[in-house]
Amino acid sequence: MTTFDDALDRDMLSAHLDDELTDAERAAVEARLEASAEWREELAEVRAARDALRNLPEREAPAGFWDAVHAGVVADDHEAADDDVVVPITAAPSHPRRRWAWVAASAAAVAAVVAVVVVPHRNEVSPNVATVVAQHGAQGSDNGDPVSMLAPVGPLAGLRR
Amino acid sequence: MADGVPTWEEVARDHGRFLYSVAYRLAGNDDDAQDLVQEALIRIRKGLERYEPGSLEGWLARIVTNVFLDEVRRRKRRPADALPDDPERVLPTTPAADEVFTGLSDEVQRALGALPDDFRVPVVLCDVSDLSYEQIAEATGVPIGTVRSRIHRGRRLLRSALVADGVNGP
Repeated sequence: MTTFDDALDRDMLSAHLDDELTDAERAAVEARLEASAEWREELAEVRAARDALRNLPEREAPAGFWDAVHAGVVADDHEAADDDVVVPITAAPSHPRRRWAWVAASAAAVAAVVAVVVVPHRNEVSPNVATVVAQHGAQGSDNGDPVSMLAPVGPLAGLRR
Repeated sequence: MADGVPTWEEVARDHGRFLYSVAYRLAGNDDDAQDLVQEALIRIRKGLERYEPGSLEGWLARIVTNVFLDEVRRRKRRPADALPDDPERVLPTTPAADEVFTGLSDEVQRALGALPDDFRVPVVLCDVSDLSYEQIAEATGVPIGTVRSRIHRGRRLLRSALVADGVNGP
């Protein structure tokens, strides 16, 4: 049965690997390792876990992350933008979103609006709205003045009785 | 860099990958890692004036860890009606189900992500950030004896998970 004190002692195995023991503690652990196969086995286990973690590669941020972070900082700090030379982070290992993702999101929204409003596209509404307006506008216009051209709105919306 | 104190841009450029790696190992997924790094960078920027030259990466790791722990505490404080019905609002303890895993490092990350926060944080700070037990105790606000215990138990849990997952070597 493992006692509380024994569990505390076993904690020293990781500390031993990490060189976090005093000289006296290290000597005690090494003596215990000599005598106990169970301790040696546990040391091998935690060493394997430690090695697995320490061999993990550095994680790259998704593309665009650092650029967006940088843009967000510049946007947030007008004084710094005026006074300091901003070092480009193009050499940063990788790339954002959320808090400063609004920068990218705003750009995307503007691009979408421009695409809808400015970019010519095929009229796919049937019947053709322009034709219907012209036809009903002619019927609803009594004297051809500009204001009467609003008349077609009534018939199309079913408001005229 | 003046008097050993880096500018914010230098921190982001030269230590960004380290910062992101620590955040990713703590959070377990890219979405939360990005949020952690962004918040950490805000704090770093504010704190650079008070930074005293020393272990810069240790300082950076402590900041991103504090951001992570603040977020964990914030989410724990949330009322019950804000919890699991919306998985996006809960910091996952495991990587997203649709995350693509490739290679042994992904198995390790999955096992790491499955550790309870109390064990994952000191283990990451020790084995990813390379902080001393004393620095970890300072960063997490727990006694150094507790740090030692959690690192050991965390590694044992991790090893068990890896073995159960069919990973036998480091």
